[in-house]
Amino acid sequence: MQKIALRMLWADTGKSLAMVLGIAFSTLLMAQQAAIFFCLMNNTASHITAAQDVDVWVSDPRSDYFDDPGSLPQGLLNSVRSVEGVEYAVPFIRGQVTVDSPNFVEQAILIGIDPITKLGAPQKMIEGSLDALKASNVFAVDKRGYSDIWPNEDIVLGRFLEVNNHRLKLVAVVDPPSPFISMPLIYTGFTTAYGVTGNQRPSFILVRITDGQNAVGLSAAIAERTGYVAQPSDDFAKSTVAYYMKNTGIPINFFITIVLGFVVGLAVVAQTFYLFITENIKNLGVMKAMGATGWQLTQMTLLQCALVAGIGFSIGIAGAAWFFETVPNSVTAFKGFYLPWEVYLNTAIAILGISLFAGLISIQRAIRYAPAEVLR
Amino acid sequence: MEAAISCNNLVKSFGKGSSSQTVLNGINLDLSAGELTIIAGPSGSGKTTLLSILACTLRPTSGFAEVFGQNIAQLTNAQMARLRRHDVGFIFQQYNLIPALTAAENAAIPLIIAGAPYDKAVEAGRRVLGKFDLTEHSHKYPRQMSGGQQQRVAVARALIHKPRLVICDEPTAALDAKSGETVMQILSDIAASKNRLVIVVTHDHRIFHHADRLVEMNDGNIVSNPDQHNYARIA
Ligand SMILES: Nc1ncnc2c1ncn2[C@@H]1O[C@H](COP(=O)(O)OP(=O)(O)OP(=O)(O)O)[C@@H](O)[C@H]1O
Ligand SMILES: [Mg+2]
Repeated sequence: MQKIALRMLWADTGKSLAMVLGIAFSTLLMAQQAAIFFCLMNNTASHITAAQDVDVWVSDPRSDYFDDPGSLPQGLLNSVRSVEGVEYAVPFIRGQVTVDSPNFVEQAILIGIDPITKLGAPQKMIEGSLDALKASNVFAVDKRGYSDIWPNEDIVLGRFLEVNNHRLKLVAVVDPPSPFISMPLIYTGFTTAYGVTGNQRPSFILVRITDGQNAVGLSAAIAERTGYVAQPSDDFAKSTVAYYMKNTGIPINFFITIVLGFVVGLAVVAQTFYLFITENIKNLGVMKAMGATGWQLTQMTLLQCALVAGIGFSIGIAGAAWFFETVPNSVTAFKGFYLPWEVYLNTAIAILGISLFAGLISIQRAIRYAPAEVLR
Repeated sequence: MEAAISCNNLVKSFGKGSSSQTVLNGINLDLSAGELTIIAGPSGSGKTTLLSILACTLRPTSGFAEVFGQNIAQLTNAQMARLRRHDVGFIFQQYNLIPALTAAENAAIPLIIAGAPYDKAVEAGRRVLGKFDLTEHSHKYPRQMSGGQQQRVAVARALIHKPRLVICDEPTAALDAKSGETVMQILSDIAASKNRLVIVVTHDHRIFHHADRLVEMNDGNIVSNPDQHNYARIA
């Protein structure tokens, strides 16, 4: 029966091609959009997830997420340090500054770190070393920021940049994971950062805990002792992502596109397959008259659907995989973007749903068709 | 001889209530294996309906119809399908071959439905086609064959699983006289030599002489049901 089912399917080249392409298009659209959305949302927390040595983030109760930094009193640092289980706690500044170079006057993000522990600093270096941030009035910049500020120039350390009217010297170029906000990233030691922003207050306090402590328990202890918000890095990353999910139009936009991909796939495939079964109804009826059972016909139909879905999905997902293999290398907006396995899985489930629906809707017709009808 | 098919006061109506139409009006009929029976009669007289019941594709409204010892009215859909799968061969006016399949594949369908492996079934299909002089056509698709050739493929398909009952609705209506004669010759041969029961519904007077028995219907009734072998003499 399987062989017969396949012969009947491929005999209708037009429809089987339309269904394969419909599924492929739907797969590509859903997988590509879902993956971009996934990576984009993850990027909102990329500063947090990239800061791997940080166990706990202490933040202002008025600040909900990374890009909305608070302003913490200096004295808080000592209160945090006095909590048992804290190995060390350092200030972390996230501010916005104006960068002024011969061909570039723009906003940039300033990140002030503790140059001794380097807690919260990016790990991947392109040029120089973050140890150099121990000096004052020096900075490091991210690779992409460098080419925004000095387009088409080779990386040269030692050059100067006006940041909020402070002349800073470049000592390192780093390669952090893509942030959600695509402005140059200026890294300095925290004292330089205080000077440049004119604000002596840390935005966050980063905590490294002693071995054997757990971040959840210690966060609670810090929060209780200080009255400030303290949460493990994972939780802070999650609440940052959640903030963007809740408070921006990004999820709904992607959601609409993904649903559109689903609906188009469903409409094309269900309709084409229904037409295919309708055109073959007499043939199925003949088989029914000859004693084929409803279950046999259902199996034939499901096999046809599975094949169309399998081929279409493979084409579509290959297209999406190719996109994420090539495009992020050349388009900086997509840097670091990839196709997560969750997207593979969920797209596969969606396509399975589409083809099952198309198959089951269509087979109803054949099942209801009375065998006596072929004689009339 | 023991009747292979037996109908007693068989009634079939379609629709319900006032719009109900009685199409078979108390049919009594016994048919035995080894006979080719022709059912004739004007259009709308209920021939196809009777044939559908005897082929186990339709249940009677009332009365009794027994096919190879099974009471049709009491069978489930699955039991009816099983009976058709093993004991009934079908030949249609419009051949009803599956266009996507070759002649050999078409002929093999009943075996495949019954669960035979594809390759074996198609091989058997080729062998059966050989018996009807279609060997060189076994790779052809229906659209590449004449009507007569297609109907012979359909005959091969109806016989491949050696059913005890072969039912044919207007098998020659779409054929020229010579092709129709060939098909009827095959059918009357298998009725006689293989002890099968062949039932042919037809308007086509040219083929009446093949009948071992000619049953004439009118308005849901059998109006003439002469004894076996009588018709040939009358004709
Ligand atoms: N499923 C059905 N529903 C309603 N009426 C039906 C159905 N099947 C048959 N009929 C009616 O039953 C009557 C007999 O039909 P049937 O097909 O048995 O006649 P027939 O003798 O085969 O005619 P023909 O020579 O034209 O094929 C017709 O009036 C037809 O409209
Ligand atoms: Mg008829």
